[in-house]
Amino acid sequence: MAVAESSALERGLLSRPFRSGTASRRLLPILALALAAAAIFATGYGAVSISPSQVLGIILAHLGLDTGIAYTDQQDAILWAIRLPRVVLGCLVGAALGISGAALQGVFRNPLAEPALVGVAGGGSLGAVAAIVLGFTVLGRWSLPAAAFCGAFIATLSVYAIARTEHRTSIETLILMGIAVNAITSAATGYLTFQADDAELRSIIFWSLGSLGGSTWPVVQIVTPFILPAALLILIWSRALNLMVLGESEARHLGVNTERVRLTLIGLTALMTGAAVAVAGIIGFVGLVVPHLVRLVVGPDHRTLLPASALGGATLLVLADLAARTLVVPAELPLGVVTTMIGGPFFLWLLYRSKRTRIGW
Amino acid sequence: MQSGLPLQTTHLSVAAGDKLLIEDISISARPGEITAIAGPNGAGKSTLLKALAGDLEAASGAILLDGRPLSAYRPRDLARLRAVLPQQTLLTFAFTVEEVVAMGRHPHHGAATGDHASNQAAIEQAMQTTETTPLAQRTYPTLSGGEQSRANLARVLAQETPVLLLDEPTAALDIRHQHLVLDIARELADAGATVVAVLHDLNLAAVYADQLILLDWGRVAASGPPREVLTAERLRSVFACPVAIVSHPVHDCPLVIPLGHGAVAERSRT
Repeated sequence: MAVAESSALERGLLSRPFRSGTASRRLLPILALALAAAAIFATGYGAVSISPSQVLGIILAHLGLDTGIAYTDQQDAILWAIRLPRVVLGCLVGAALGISGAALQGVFRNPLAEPALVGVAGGGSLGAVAAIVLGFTVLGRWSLPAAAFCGAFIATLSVYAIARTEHRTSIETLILMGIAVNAITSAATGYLTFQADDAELRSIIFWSLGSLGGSTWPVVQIVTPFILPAALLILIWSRALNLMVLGESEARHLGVNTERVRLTLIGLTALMTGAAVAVAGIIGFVGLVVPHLVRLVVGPDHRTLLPASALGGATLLVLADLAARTLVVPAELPLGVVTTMIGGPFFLWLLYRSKRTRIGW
Repeated sequence: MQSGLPLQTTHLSVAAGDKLLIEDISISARPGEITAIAGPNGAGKSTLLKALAGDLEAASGAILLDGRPLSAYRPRDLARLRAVLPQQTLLTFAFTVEEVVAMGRHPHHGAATGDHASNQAAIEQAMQTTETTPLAQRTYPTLSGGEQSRANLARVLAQETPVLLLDEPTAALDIRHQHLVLDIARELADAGATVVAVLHDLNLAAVYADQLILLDWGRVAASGPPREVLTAERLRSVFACPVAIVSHPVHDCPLVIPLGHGAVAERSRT
């Protein structure tokens, strides 16, 4: 949002026209600490209460370190078998959504970009719903995640492949293709939902509202190799992403192979968010809102923004899942509903603020 | 900075679909000179500059930097040799001016010229030259059009390349800053750089350019020193607007005075 004609007075009154660039990187350790605190708190909170020191004691005991902190066998069982895998999966999924949103907003130079835009949610839903309704069970309990992952990945790559013509992709085409592919997948999903019986409908609704309820260590083990390496690889491209934000041709003039950056980043984000969607269902607004929130604090430099969005996304999802499983006990709120309830109003505020101050995102 | 890199085109044509945007253009921008590209709207000025920058593929002909085809350079190597100032850069996210200028150092990242001291020196020098130092901590989207334009010029200067391509560098600027920018271009050329600039203002071209290339309908209508290119007859036919050419009262160059459509009517009556 360039402001060509804003008067000096108006510019002087803007809320944050100045920003110190160097201070922002110091926030990363603080965000990491916040995540650790949120994770320990979430692990300890519930019907059976476990204190933070007991949480650490139990985890360290499982890693082979005896700390002498007293805890019961029941606490140990609940923490290790139920709560910890759920919190760890929340961290992974939240980090994947946060860093993917930040990377895609940079790639598309568009503050509204998020994984859903390039087909992850639409494709993932279609895969999952198809598996439920058509009775795809070849892979046992991994059938649904595998179908959702394939749907998400195929949808994203087809958006990219169709948009790429004459060896170049225009961002506008890519966004429009994303909208078209999302429309087609949601029509197909709608048709399958229409065909579903009552039991299948319950599964579809449960999945499409998002949940970390199915978290176990094997689930953590299977998504970690998709999410962790991809997240680390994305960090390598943070400098190039800064230049991409400057503009497609500007980045090229500065020696960036823009097509390769775009393909790599869309591929990596599809991998990560595809895996996230596969194990947790549709979790809205984390990928969209977290990068904006983080940008407000650390600024737009991707060298800080990307890791901070991963940490922020993980923290938000751990806390949202804590709310989802404790607000209406003994029932559980769908996680996607909680994140959207937080994200929606926040996004409205963000839009209002940017309209009012016009200082850019 | 390396110097002495000539940039040439030989029988260059660029097409959009089956329409030729520029046709059979053979020009040579020499080191130590400012080469200005002028012409009416739609004559192909920006297309030619984009082709020189390597953004557009040639339908036929070639673009040679230092005798080698542009396509033979790796993007990173090319970025160390030539910098491009676009007409306008819109930035969605709130980078500070200093961060934007620092992006100009990207091609030097990992090279001998990319150590912290050289980067810092180049950034500071570029901001000083363009008078953007006071804007360093301001965020780019809050700047006025003219300030953004100078911040971008600073980014381009920080790139420290022997070839500079400037697309209407004076468009958003007041008269003092117009001359500031072209004085910078002059100094760089005097230091051996090859400068190519699209200029709408024929009088700025007359004062600053060593070579003026006048485009019309995608072809070169005339090229050479401004005093030879800027004749009343030629400008009237190319711009479809009558002009008077007088001697510049201060500089040793021609001064173009557009007479407007009223003059056409008046003359046809007499």
